[in-house]
Amino acid sequence: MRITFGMLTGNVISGLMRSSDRLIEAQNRASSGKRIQSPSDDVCGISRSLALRSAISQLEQLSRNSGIVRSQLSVTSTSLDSIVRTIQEVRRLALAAATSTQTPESRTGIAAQLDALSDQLSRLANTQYGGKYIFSGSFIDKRTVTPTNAGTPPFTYDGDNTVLSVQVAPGIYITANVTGAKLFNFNGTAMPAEPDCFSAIAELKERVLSGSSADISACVDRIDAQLANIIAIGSQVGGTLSTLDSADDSTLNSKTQLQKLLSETEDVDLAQAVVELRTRENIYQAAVAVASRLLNVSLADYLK
Amino acid sequence: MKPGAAVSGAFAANGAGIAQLGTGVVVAGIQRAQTDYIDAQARTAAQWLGMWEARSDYLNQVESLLAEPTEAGLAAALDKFWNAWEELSATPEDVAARINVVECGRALTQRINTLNHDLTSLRSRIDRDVVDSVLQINTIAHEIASLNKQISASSNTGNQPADLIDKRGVLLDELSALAKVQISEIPGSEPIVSLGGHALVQGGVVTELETRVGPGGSAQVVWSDDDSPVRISGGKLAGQIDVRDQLIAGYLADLDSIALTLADKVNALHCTGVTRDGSPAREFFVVSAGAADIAVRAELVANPSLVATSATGRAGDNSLAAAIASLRDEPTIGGQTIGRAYAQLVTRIGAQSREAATRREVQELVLQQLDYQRQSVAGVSLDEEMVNITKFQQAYNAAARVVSVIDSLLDTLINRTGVGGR
Repeated sequence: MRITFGMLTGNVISGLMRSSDRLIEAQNRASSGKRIQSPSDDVCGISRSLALRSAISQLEQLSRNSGIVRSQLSVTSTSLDSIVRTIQEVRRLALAAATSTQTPESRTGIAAQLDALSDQLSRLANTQYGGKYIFSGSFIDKRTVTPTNAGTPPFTYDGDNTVLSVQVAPGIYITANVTGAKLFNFNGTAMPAEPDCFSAIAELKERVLSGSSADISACVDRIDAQLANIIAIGSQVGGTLSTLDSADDSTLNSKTQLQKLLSETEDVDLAQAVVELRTRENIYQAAVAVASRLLNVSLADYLK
Repeated sequence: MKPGAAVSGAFAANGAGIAQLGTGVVVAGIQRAQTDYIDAQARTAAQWLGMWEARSDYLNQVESLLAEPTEAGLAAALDKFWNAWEELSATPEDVAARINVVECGRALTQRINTLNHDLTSLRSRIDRDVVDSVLQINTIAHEIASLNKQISASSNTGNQPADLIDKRGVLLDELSALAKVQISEIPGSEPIVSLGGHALVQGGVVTELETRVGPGGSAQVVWSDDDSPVRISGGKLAGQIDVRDQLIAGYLADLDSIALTLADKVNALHCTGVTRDGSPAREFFVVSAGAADIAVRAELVANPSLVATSATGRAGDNSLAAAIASLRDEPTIGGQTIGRAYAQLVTRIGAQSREAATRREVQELVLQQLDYQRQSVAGVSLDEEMVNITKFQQAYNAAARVVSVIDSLLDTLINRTGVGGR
C-alpha cells in the first residue's frame, strides 16, 4: 500500500482521539466510583440497578414502618401488663371478700378499693401514645372509655373494633393495635356470654356490699374469664413483637444483600479501575510520543 | 487529489542514417487518479456514519435528561411517593405524613413534567436541525450544479478539468453524509444526483428541498416542484427525522402512559375515601393531556389534611393508604408495575444509545479505512514527490552533462584543431 503523509497524520490524530477518549472514560469511572453513569454504559446493569434501588428504597420505608409499629406495640404491651396487675388485684380483693370473716365495715372498705381499681383501669384503657388513644380502634382521636351518668354500665366504649394492619416487610402485614372492644369485652366482642370488664367489677362491688359468699365466688369466675382474655391478648401482642423482630431481621438481611448486589452492579472495582486508568494513561502517552516522533520526520531532511 | 502528468515520448527527429535522436518527453495531459469504486463505498459509509452520528448525539442528550441512575431521577421520585403512602399507612392520623405524601407527589409530578418538557424541547431542537440540514443540502446541490456547468463547458474545449471534478467529489461526499443520494454519471449525458428516486441535481438544474410544517407541528421535507414528500433513507437527515418522529415520540408516549396510569390508579382509590372532616375525597392527581400537565390537586397542596386514608374517615383507619401504597407492586402497564415500566423505558433508551454509539464507531473505522485506500491511490506522498524531485533533478543533471560534453567537443574542434584563419 502506498502510504501518504495524510494517512500518517490521519492515523496519528484518530489514535490520539481514541486513546484520550478512553482515558477520560477511565478517569470518570475511577473518580466517581460508578461503573454505570448513564443507561448506555451497561444496558443490562441499568435495569437491574433501577430494580435494586427501588427494592432497597421500599425496604428502608418498611423498616421505618416497623419502627413505628414496634414503639406503639411496646406501649400497648406495657399497658397490658398494668391492666393485668390491676385485675389481679381485683381478683385478690374478691377472694378476700368471699371469706366468712368479713365485717360490713371491711366489706365497705373493699368496695371502695374496687371503685378505685375500676378508675385506675379506665385510666389505663385511655392510654395515649403520641396523642393517640391506642385502645380506641380506628377512633384514636377519641377517649377509649368514658364514665356513664347512670352508672350501668359504669363505662361506655367510644372506639370501634377496627384493627390497624401495617406492612412491615414485603408482603408481611401485622396488626399494630389492640382494640378496647376485644380487650375489655365491650358488647361481648371477645366473649359473647360475658359482660364487659368494668361491668363485671361493678357487679362484684355490689355483691361485696350485699351478697353472699357464693355470690361473690360466682363473680370471681367472671373476673377470671376477663383476666384470661386479657392475658391471651397480651401474649398475642408478645407474639406480634417477635414476628416484628424476625421481619426486621429478614428486612435487614435482604437489604444488605440487595445493597451488595447494587454495589456489584453500579460500582467499579477500585483496584481494577486504577489499573485501567494507568494502562490507558500509558497508551495515551505512547500515542503522544509516536505523534511527536513521526510528524517531524521528512525525507527532505535526508536528501542533501 | 493527486493529478498525475501523463508523459509520452516526443516524436523522434529523424537522424541522418542509422540512429534516431530522442527529443525528450512531452506532457500529454494531466490526469486525475481514478478512485470511483472506493469513492462510492466511502459515500455509503458516510451515509451510515451521518445517520448513526445524529442518533448517537441526540440519544446521549436524552440519557443525560433522564439522570438515571441517581437520586434525582424519576425512579427515585416514584419510590419516595410510594414510601410516603406506606408511612401514612403506619401513621394514618398524622398530618406530617399527609404533608409528606403531598410533597412527594408534587416532586414526582414535577419530575414527570420536567422530563416531558425537556424531551419536547429536544424534539423541537432536532426539528430546527432538520431545517438546517435541508438548507445545507440545497446549498450543496447548487454548488454541484454550478460545478457541473463549468465542467461541461471546459470538457467541451477538450480539457479534463481535474480540479473542478475533485471539488465536486468533495461536495458529493458532504452531501452523502447528509442524506442517501444516488449518483449516476453516464458518459455523454448530464450527471444526475438523485435522492429517494427523485432528481436533486440534473446537470446544472437543481430541484430544491423544502420544509413544511406537517402534522404535529414538526417540519416535513418535500420537493419544491411537486410538493411530494422526500423519501429519505440515510445520512444525518434520516437520523434526525428518525429520532424526532420515532424514538422521542415513543419515549413521550411511554411517559404519558406512565403519568396517566399513575393518576388513574391513585385517583380511583383516593376517590373512594373520606377525609378527616367527613367529606368525600376527590382526585389526588389532576391530569388531562398526560406527562405534560399531571399535578397534585391544588386543593391538597394548600390543605394536605384533605388526603384520605380510609373509606370511613376515622383517624386510625389506614385501609386506603395501605391500598394506595400497594399499587407499587400492582402490574398496571402491560402486565408491569409503573416502576418497571419506567425502568424498561430507561433500559430501551440505554440500549438504543449503546447501539448508535457502537454503529457510529464501526462506521468511523470503515470510513477511515476507505479514506486510507483512497489516499493510497490518490493522495500525495511527500516521500514519493521528494524522490521524484531527485529523479528529475538527476535527469536534468545528466542532460546538462550532455550539453557540457558537446561544449567541450566543440571547444576541442574549434580551439585546438589548426590555426588557419586566426
